[in-house]
Amino acid sequence: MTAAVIILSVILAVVAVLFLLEKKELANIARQLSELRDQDTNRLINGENGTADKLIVEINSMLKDIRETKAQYNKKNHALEQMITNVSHDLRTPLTSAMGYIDLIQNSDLSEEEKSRELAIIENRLVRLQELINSFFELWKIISFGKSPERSNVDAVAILEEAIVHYYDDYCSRNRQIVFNCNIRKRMISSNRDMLLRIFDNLIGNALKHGDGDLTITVIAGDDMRITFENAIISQDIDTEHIFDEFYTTDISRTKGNTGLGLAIAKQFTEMLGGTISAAISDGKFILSVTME
Amino acid sequence: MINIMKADLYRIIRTKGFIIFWLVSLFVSLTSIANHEPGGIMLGGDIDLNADRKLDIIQTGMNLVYYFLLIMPVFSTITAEFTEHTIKNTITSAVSKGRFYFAKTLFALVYSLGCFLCANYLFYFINRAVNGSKYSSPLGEYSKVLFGQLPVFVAIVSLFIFLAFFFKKGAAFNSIVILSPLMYSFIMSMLFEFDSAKKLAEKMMKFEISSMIGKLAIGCSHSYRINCYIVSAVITAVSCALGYLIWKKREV
Amino acid sequence: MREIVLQTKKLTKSYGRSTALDHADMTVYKGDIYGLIGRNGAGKTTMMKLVTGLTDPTNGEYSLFGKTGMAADREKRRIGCLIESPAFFGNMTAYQNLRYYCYQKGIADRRQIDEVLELVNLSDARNKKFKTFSLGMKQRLGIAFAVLDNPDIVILDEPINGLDPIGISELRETFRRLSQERGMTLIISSHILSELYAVANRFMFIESGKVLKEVSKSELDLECSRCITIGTDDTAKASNILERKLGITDYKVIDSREIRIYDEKVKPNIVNKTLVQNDVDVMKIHESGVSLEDYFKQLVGEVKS
Repeated sequence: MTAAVIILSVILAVVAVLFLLEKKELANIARQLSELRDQDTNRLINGENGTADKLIVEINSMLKDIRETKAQYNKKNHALEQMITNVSHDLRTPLTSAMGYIDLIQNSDLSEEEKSRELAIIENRLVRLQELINSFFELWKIISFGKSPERSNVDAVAILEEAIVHYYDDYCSRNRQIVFNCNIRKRMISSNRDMLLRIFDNLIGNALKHGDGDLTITVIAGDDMRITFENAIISQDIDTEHIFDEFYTTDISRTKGNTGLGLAIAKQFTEMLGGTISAAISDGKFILSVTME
Repeated sequence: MINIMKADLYRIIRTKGFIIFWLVSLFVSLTSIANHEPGGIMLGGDIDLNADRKLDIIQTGMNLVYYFLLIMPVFSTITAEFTEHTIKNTITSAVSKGRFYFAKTLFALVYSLGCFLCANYLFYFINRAVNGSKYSSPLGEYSKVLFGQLPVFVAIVSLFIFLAFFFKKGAAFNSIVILSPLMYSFIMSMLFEFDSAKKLAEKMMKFEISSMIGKLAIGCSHSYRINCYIVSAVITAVSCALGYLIWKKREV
Repeated sequence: MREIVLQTKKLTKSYGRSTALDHADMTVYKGDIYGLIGRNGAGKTTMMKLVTGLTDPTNGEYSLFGKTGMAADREKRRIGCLIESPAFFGNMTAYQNLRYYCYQKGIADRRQIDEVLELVNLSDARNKKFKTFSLGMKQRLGIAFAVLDNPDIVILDEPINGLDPIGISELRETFRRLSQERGMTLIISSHILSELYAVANRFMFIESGKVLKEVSKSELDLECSRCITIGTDDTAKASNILERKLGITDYKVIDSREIRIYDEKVKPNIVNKTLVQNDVDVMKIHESGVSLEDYFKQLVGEVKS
């Protein structure tokens, strides 16, 4: 009889303690939730005694989802903001320079010959400005809409050749060459002509600005089409992981005449066309490879 | 608070001290069960080992071995945090200094006494199963004896906790804790040599730790029992209060 | 204005007669990667110990997320830190050690442990005992511990110590991810300025317990990058002259009154002469170009003399 009473009261005490602990834990969860609501924080809900762990895990995974969404939104915003600040500097430089030349033409006695030379420089500056504005706009479109491009059957090799032609003179004038290794005449792929041209343009232009020596372009056609762009490097500290980030330049403190957008656009476009792009450095050579289906 | 204690439990069962505690405790219990002879450590306390009590009660009278075994849980919970410097991890994130003291003290007390009770009951039930009622007393009587000893062990563990917080260093803590009962007996026997100090020595003899443990188990006068409890309560209260005050002022 | 997450006001700590930290003011904004730079024994660790509550200040106060005193203590849970060398239980594995701290902090989700181990590249050493770890691994486990409870501020004391170059660059990447993806505010101390320069965006120089200077990265760049700064009213004309007469193309128009030339071959006196000859008012022209370490030495030198 006494034994039964003792056992019963022990059980009762245990149940009562568990009940109280659980109640306390729930109050703790409620308190933390209300705290979290008006804080901008990473914190999740922590248990006080472990009686409601499953509930906490569920609430926390929900909180994480919400924060993830918010973080993505902020990231996009931040990228846009950063782009505007960076671009405004870069837009000002050619513009100010062009204004200076115009001032010169207006206020000094120049021969017709000199004037036309100045005008050519102004044009050059304005073209550069236009390029900048275009790439700025393009990237902005991608960032804000992320729409999928229209596709048609196009000849990738022909487009690549076209891009090479664009830059041929620039390379020649610097005593550099574009070596084109391609064992096929034609390769039809489902893609977008303008975007593809833009990708090749950007990659060849990038090698012109930042690379050294000859640019070797190799087309390897298998099931997928792989195109590699290979050139010697000037700067040793290239961060291949970040090279495709917007405004990446090897020199972080300033951007010289680059927008830092070329490779970012190339990457975005390639991915929108269902391809992949990667960068690597081996034997002092910088290698960019684009793979298209 | 409960979290800290749960964490300590998680960690403590993975320490060497935990294994040693149970191995030694089982070894002592099993040898005494097998030999029908109480076994343990004595320290010059005057207990009547041939008293007309059954094996389990006399064995309880030799519980001094737990004085030494209970060093391990206290060491693992408190001293290890200092020697491994992990205390800063806890204090910088989970709790404040004050709560740390409170949680650790409470855990060390509950856990150590829990181990003490478990080990004794384990002995009791094995003994009862193996040797039968010839060598064992009824559960109620045994419990009464065991719980009668508990205040002394509360005092011992509190003292350990205080010393652990006081010394912080593992070596200092261990040597002081292990040596102090031996020193106590040594001083006591020295005092017996002098006639003038004989009275003091006899008083000390009364409250020598192994005598207290032994007498409380095997049998003593009511007034002696009350005196023992008063001494234990004073030690417990002083250790806890002093420990907290010193801890508050310490730099981590 | 961004939210101030941590601010100290005249924080002072003395041990007996020596002063470890002397009236230190520090302001950390949300999202900063804040670098504390100073030589060994300059007071970096003391600063960190004070704001994490490992020790109490002799004088002065600090606010955490805009709260002071007791309310600030409650906000301590939002700080994760690694102060002095990483300390864990040697006889337990990396996983067990973190599990122990999960219990302590009431982290219900065990997946968090593997997540942070992954973050610091310790997944392979998950079941190795802490005492077998190399210094670099210990350091990384310390960082994993610091971010275990999804803190808002992460305080790391010399996290780069003992890491090899690959480890350092991995860590830098980890810091960037924590800051960008999780929006954490990082406070990192080091005695190597160039290491911190690569990650931090604000810096505090500290020496003999005194705060020498608090600067942002752009301010530091301004003082440390090699360039010629020209102040003029007529940037249009000036840029034109720079290009035509001097053939300088590596320049940038900062605003309507300032141009910077980054071309290292250009001499300021020639630029000045040419500009003045062409009727451009040059209000100021100066060349700046100290290396980071020189800059640091200069700062420390100023205090000594």
